[in-house]
Amino acid sequence: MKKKLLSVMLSTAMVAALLAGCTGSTPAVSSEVAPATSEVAPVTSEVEPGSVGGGEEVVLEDTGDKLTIECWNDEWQTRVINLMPGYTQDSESDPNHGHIGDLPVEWIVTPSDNGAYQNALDADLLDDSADVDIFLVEADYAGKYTVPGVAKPLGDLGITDADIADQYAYTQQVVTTDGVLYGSSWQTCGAGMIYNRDIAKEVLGTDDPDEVQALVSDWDKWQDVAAQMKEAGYKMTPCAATSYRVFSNNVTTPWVKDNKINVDANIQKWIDMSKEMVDAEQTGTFGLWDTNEDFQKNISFCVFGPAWYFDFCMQAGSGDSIADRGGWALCQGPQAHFWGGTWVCVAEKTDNAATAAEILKTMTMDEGVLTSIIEDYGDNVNNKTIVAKYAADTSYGNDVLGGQNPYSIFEGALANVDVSNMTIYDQICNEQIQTAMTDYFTGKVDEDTAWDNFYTAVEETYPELSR
Amino acid sequence: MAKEGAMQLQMDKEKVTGGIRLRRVVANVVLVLLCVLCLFWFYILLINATHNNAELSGGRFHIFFGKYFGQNWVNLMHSSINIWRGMLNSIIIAAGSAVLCTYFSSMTAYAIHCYDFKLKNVVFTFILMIMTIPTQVTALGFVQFMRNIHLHDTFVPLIVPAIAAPVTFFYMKQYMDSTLPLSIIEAARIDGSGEFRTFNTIVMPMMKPAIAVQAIFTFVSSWNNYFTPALILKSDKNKTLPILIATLRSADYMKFDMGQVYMMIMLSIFPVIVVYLALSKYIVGGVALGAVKG
Amino acid sequence: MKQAKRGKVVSFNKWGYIFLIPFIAVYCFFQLIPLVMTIYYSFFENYMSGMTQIGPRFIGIENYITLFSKGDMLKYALNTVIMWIIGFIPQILVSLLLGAWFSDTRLRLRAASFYKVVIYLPNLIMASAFSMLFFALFSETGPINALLMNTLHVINKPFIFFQDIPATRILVGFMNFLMWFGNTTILLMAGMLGIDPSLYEAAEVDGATPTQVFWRITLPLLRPILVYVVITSLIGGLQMFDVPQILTNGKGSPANSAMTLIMWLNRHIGTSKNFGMGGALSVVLFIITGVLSMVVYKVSNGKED
Repeated sequence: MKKKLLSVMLSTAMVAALLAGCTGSTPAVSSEVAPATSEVAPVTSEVEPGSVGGGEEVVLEDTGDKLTIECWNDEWQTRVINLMPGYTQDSESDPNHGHIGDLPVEWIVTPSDNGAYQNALDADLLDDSADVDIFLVEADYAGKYTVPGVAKPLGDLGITDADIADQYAYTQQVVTTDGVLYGSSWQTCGAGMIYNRDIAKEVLGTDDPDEVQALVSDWDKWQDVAAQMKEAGYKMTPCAATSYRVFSNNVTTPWVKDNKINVDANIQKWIDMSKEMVDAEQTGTFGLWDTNEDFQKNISFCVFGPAWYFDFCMQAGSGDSIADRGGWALCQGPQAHFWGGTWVCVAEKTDNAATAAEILKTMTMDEGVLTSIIEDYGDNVNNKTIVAKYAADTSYGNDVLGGQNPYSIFEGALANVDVSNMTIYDQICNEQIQTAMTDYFTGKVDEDTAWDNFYTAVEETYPELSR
Repeated sequence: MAKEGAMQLQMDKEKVTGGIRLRRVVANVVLVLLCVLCLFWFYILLINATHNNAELSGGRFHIFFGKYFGQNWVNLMHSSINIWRGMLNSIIIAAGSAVLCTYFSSMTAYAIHCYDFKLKNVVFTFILMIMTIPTQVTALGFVQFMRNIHLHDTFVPLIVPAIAAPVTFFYMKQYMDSTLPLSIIEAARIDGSGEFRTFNTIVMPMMKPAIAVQAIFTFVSSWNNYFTPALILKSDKNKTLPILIATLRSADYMKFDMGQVYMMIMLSIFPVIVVYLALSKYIVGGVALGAVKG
Repeated sequence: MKQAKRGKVVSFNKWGYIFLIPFIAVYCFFQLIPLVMTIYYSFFENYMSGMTQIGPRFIGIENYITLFSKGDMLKYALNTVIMWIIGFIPQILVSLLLGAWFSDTRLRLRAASFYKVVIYLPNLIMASAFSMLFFALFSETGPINALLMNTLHVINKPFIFFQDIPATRILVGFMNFLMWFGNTTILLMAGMLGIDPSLYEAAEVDGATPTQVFWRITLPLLRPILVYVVITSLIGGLQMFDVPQILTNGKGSPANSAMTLIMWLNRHIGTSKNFGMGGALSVVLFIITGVLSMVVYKVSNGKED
């Protein structure tokens, strides 16, 4: 018995010590580090959104022995390897190790499945012994990282207002917290309404983007067209989910206000409209990524999506899809919106600030690099002047869109995008509302139950929130 | 006695009744159907590995071979993913886990099965209790702890904990209950064999079918594990196949290629099948354990 | 039996402790510490809000109260049990049947080795890859719908499996069945191999029917392994995660009807790393499975001792 007691005591002591170790080594980021930040950059809290403020000389130094970049795939990595001046790969077969000048660069690529990327990134950012200099974030959770003590304000990296003057405002709002800019993106993801030319010609009598746009310029008109489509034997959209981003990225209130979950009128509008359309059989209810036959045969009139939707989802290249015969066209649709995007941040704790700042600046702001990104990768770049040039280029046409030049429409989509209502809770709220409401659309539950399911799911994910 | 029985059996066989023939037909039909159901998935994976991304996008389904097998192979080999390194890592981790897990689980089961000591029931109950703890429960605490003691991004947290596998232990214990008579151990003692030697040279060989079974299970579950390795392994040179597959699947849209993904799934299933077939002879071959009981 | 054992091996019993050292040492180091941390934190408010750590702040049993008063723990427990039963009943029946066939000396299945090897194969496929295939197969435009519509003419528009509550649950159960029935059969067969063949021969000499042999010889002697199968399957069932998680994209849809307890746990510890609530849920799960396993073990093993 004594032995047993002793062993219990021993293990308790051991665990107690460990627990103490754990809590001690997990820094409470906002409370401990924030004051330090405001000492370094006292001006940042007064600047306008979209401005880096300052103007004073920032001296940056490289003290670390390597530059570590964390990301979830090789999208930006390939762009850096191919376009960053002075970047060399250590070996042809290994993209994850290279040099900038004499400084070794290591890429840590963690796939985003199951939240693995954010888990790994969180751990490395909070672990004092881990080296992180640059990390990438997506729009849906950018706000989690663009806070004092985690990401470095661009003003502290020697970036001036002139450097970012040509960027689209929304790309800056996404990574702005309390007026401080914490990141930058090389791309924009303006989206539009992609419609089927054959069906447009048959039902609307025209497939000209301007004329079609006039017929769908607001949601009431859009729904009138949906009724016409139904009469002609077509669906308006393959699924309710395709129009979700148009509504959710045009909200006027945030998902969360003072830790209370808040539902914007626009979200309710999407729910009401979608339910109506599902009941009228003008749209389907299956998942966003399962809309396959719609890209093969003339079944549905339109989907909403950005440039990356063409290649990724619409089956261009499969030989027998509508995309392959250039059967789609693009117009702005009832409301301008954007969808997706990747931002580059420099970690507050970087020990190679000079090189990190250089990479961020060159890869997201340098006109030569951005032009190459359009030419080599077909991205929509985050520079108004360059995009305007390509939008005006009549010789440029997209094959999927039957030769239409999409740049002016994507550019138009971005002009009025307002992302000031983004919160760090958006990803989960957006996912859960679609899941919960699909059950309502299909008649599995009534609307109240669907709402209960939604609130419960969000509250379980974020204990600090309540309805 | 046994001989007489066998002779009797021989006589029975000569006058096989219609009943047995019918039962045999039914059994064969059911088993063939089950086998089709089991092999179907491998066929589909193989088929999908012969189609390109456009043909596979949107979850489209194919029943017949496509013409992109070679192309998918070339694309995968030229991608930035070092599949052979991943395979080596997976083999080290899975084989290491399987060896440690079966050996030490047998040892633990042996301790409980054939010795009487004061804390025996306490320990046994304790292990039964901890068997019921979901791995997800402690995973994040585990990862945090591994970081604190600087074992993350090594294979240690993925191999060594296999020594303490309550589920495998429980199986070994149950298996010993039904097949390992204590008289054999006592006989070994009388012959002057040390306890450790008895365990290694007499008990372990008798446990072969159970070890083969649990080695396969441990190997497979370690091979296919994504959850913990994704949290522990960070650098490229350490990544296992499931993480590399996830990397392929989260490639950006310009490079996303389901053809490559399926090709890689095919390739990563291959070694497990080899290991399984190698060990399966112990399962199907029928090591006549009953003989030692007599 | 027990008496004799105790008398003879008494001087060797210290070896019991020695042989336990590796297990206990490794367990304490790698698993007990995180486990104790889990239990300890179940009494704390402790989560991440964005990158900010909230707590740990001692709040007594508040997490447990929240667990039982808010949310749908019972519903998720029921979902889990339903999907487990849908998979487990055919699994154990088929495995016992196959085991009986394989061990029946008179049946002499010619391709027995082939069958035995093949039935375990589905377990070799990663759950994620398997789910991808299942999803494609049963999708709205998948071959199953094409079959039902165009060939069999049972339905005239696609049936959306993953938006139907019974269909989703049955598919989850079916996938679990397919992945695990080979495993169960192998376990049972390994147990059957341990049964003295002379018992079967004797039974045959006495003219026992295959049914009698199965019920009177195979099943009683198989009991330890059977207990193992039931307990591990019960534990595995209560911990069901991979298949419904991937098949429903982590949502447990439709209407949370495919949401299991561990998927629920995952929701707590995923984004916000809520070790408090996650810990409380784990402790409850641990108690439920522990009690159930002990009951199964005692009921089936206690009879004869």
